[in-house]
Amino acid sequence: MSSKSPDVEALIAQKYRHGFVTDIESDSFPPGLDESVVAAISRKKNEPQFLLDWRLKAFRHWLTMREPVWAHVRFDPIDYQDISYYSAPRAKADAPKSIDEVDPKLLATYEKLGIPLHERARLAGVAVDAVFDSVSVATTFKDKLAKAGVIFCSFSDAVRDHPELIEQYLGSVVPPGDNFYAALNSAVFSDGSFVYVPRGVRCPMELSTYFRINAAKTGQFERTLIVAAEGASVSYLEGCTAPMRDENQLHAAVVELVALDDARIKYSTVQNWYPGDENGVGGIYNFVTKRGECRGRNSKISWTQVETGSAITWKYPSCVLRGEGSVGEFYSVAVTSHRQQADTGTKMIHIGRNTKSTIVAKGISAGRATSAYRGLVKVLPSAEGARNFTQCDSLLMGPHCEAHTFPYMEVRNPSATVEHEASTSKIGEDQLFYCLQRGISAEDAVNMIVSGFCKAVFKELPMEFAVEAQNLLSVSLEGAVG
Amino acid sequence: MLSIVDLQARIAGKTILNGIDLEVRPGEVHAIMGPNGSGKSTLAQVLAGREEYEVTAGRVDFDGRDLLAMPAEERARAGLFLGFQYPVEIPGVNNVYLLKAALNAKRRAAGQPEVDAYEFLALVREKMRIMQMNESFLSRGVNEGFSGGEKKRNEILQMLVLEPKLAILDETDSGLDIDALKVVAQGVNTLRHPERAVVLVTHYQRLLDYVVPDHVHVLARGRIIKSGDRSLALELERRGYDWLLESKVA
Amino acid sequence: MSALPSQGAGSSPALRSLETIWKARAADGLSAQRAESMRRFLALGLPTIRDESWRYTNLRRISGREFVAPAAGTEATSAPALSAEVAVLLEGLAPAASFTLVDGRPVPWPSLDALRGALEAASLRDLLARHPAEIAPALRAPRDEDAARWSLLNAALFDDGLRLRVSSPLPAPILVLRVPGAAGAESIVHPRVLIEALPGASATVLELHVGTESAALANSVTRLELGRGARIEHYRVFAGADGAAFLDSLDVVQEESSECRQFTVALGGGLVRAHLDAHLAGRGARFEGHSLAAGSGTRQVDCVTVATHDAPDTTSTQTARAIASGTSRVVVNSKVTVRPGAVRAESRQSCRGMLLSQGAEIDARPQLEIYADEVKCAHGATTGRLDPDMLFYLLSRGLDRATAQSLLVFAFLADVLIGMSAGGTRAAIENALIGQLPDATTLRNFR
Repeated sequence: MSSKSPDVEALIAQKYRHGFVTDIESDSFPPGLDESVVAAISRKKNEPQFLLDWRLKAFRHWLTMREPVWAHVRFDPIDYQDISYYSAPRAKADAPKSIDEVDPKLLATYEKLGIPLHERARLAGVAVDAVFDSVSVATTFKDKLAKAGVIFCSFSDAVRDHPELIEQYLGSVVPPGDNFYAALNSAVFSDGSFVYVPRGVRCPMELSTYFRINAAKTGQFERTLIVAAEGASVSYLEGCTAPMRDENQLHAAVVELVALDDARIKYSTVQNWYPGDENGVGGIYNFVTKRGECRGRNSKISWTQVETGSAITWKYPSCVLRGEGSVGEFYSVAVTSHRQQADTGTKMIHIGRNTKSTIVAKGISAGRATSAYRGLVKVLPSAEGARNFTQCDSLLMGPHCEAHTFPYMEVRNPSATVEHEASTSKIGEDQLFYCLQRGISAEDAVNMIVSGFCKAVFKELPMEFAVEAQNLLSVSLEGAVG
Repeated sequence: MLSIVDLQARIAGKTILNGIDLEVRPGEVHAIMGPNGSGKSTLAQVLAGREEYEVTAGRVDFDGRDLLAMPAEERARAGLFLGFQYPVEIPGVNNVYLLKAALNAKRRAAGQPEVDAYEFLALVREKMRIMQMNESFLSRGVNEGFSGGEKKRNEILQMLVLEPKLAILDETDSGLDIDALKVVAQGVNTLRHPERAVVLVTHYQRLLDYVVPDHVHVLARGRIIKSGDRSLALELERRGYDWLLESKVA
Repeated sequence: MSALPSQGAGSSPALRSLETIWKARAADGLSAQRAESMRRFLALGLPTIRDESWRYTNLRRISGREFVAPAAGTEATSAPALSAEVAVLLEGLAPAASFTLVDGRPVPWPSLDALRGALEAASLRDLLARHPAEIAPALRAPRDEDAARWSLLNAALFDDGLRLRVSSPLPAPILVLRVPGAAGAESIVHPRVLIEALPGASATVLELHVGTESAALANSVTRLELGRGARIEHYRVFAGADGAAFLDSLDVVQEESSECRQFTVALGGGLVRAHLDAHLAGRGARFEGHSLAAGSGTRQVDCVTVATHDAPDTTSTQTARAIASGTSRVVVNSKVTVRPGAVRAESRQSCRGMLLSQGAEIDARPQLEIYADEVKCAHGATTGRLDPDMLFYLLSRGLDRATAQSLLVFAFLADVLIGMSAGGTRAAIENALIGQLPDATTLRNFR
């Protein structure tokens, strides 16, 4: 490495800001998984029979499945019997009726994470569902949303209050046996968020779920279901953090989106699970299945993700473009450093006529990390006039990191146009030098260059998140170059 | 030669031509002018047979034949030439071979023998001199890597070689510097003949200083809203289009 | 993204029969290496669509068959006559030397005296009997076993082939013609060709694979070894009947500053699996891989090109042009791997597909695996139809629709053709390609 070039490797020293543990009494199942555990979760939540049956079916199917091995990630086998499948902070009474009844320690936790749940301090214009380990502890602005006809509540509440919607839509996008982790989630999911935006309603505020893993030796298996009826639109954000622990914890969520005719769903994620330390000890295994179906004509689903956390990320937020003229989008920034591994991307399945998809994926690898983009664009014979544009770029920071690109293009309609562009390069030394020569510190220069590299994705984020994502990025790469 | 009656056309559900009437006789030069988005290029493309446009009403007679019933290649062979506003680049297809294939296709359709390579080259060289083009044009791909001006010259070269009865030149003058404009105008004037006609589609009257039109039409919102002689173009140059549009709306 | 790892086709009839052929063969000087190759092959099994590099090519029809080794005594002693469609590919070609392999065995070739000091040839059968140690190093399997398992099988079972050694620049191409002989459709042959370009040598090599419906399945392997500063321009062309199947592996090993330009052209056959593994082992080695796949009827073409940068300052370029009509399927798997330490590696991949009919399919997987940081790698891939603007332009100049379409298809393929510096070979390939397009006569005038 030349003398003018900053020593990338020596300066990687990421600080994880959310690694504290909340000392709170919790109700946890002992580790282990069998049908009785599945039944116990269901009982705990007073679920109707159909849901228990659904869980058990998924569980039995899961037992016949094997973990996928095609992803470009390496980890020791997970002992699924050594995980606790349910953990909830112990409540004083039953369920808290309002925010005031929520354990102050929990409120303090979210406060510390920058997500105030108290009425006065709430994030303006953003309704939050706070999920702590296996359960939702609070949902803000419920009433205001209800006035607009929007249902936004924890998954458990939705099962209780809107079982018909759950029965209709649950598993309709990600079937219980879709893949190994989705099947596991279908069997043991404990909570999550539910959104229903009725016909013609533009959701009056941003909806957001904040996931927090706290308890040790637990897995988090939440489930999110968002339905936008005809002409409805909603923007949804999720954030995630976890304490620093030496063990690896499993997070296997499922997110399903359904967009009917002319509906719009925008789903944004800032994922900052604990990534493990610089030697790769600890951190979250983030094995998530996210899929949206543009079921109606001219519907649109847009995924935006900023992935900076987790020891291992395995996720492919996808769009099934069934409705004529429907649109799918995927914008992603994945940052890996130290020994993080990410295998992430998307699938765009073009079924309907004149469907359109756009993929913009930016991967940044530093340290000894591995970042892989994996994306499928599939055009079925029925997708007359389908169009896709894919741009994926990787930025390498340091001689020991890896960046891979694995696109799959499968085109079966002659009127379709599919375009893919990709590049991989080292962070530009001449750009860096230019900045240094103008008196900008190396760290600032890297931040500027990386921000520029990611700009196409950041501009897709809602404003509140764009700022957070930007900060997260600079923390993640703090000292990556000096 | 060309008789357009109530021509209406749309693309992707949007109506662009709202009933065009136009009569072009042999020997005439017509200029069609109008603001951006008025439908000038659409008219040119529809006449040349672009399939993306749907003709919803009207008829077009070309030399006694129903033009709208003919596919694009037949129109070309019948003697209709479109000089494109944005000539497409076709890498891998040689410029001069395209020209030869086009000429021979036309000759075959007319029952004439194909030209041999020697005759053809002599013909092309002669026309290239008029257009002040150099030899390298011959070996390149169609419009491949040509500058804007080179592409326009190439269009006129093709026109001169194919000797159409009716040439429709879509904004052939746009993006040309004054020298190139003169060369292009000279090319067009070379083609003028009592048996042939030219329709110039243009935004500015600059070209009309060099190729003097017999008739000038103003197209707006898919209709010809005013016709006149050369002086109309000069008036447009002086006053712009707004006065015409306003009076139409009012 | 298949959900399960390879199961192999553990107990398929084909695998069992191959094991039987293996057990029946006599020991020779390479037995230890052959045994190791066979062990690895059997452990992997026949590929299924669950294997990443085989996800678009189903070998069911092959794995369901029971193969035998060609019967003794069926070996040809002279080159058979060529069909007209193959002959057209050789028109105008004046090779410096030509070799014919019938069912993988070379028939006696004319004297090479005129090329003394520039080209040596030997049959692998002779070398196996007399100097097996000379072949041994060439049996190393490529890294990507999943993709290259047929190459492992070849290493275990080959018993003949050709070794060509080029020691100085050759003035004209070498032709290696591979044709089927008397071995029937139930048999499998494993021809191997080894071409060594010694330091500073250069050559153009045309390998023409001809298949018929009733021919033995050819599991062919060619290995190119380029010494320091050597240059090879290599063509492999697949032609023949719709029922023919080709499984071909090409391994390229490049030393310092060597340059390999490779063209793979699939013009015929029912199934063409053309694998290419280029290993840029020496500093400054340059590799170009160009493939041109014409899918028509029910043909399946699967081109796999892997370029591995394993030394500093290496460059690779991959260009693929695919057209698919009828219900054919063309698969372009291309991969660039930059190994740790291969600093300043540069690579470009360009893959373009054109679908000409409903029912046809094009699949592209342009992959990058980067384990070093000072690299510049890029790829672009597109699939689409004939450009409507170009088509209209040609129609508006009076060209027939069929001519215009053929012309545009041909122009689309020109990116690859234009790079072929062997004039005669290029003309022959163009001729054969044009022959598959409508309005061939007009098109020929266009060249």
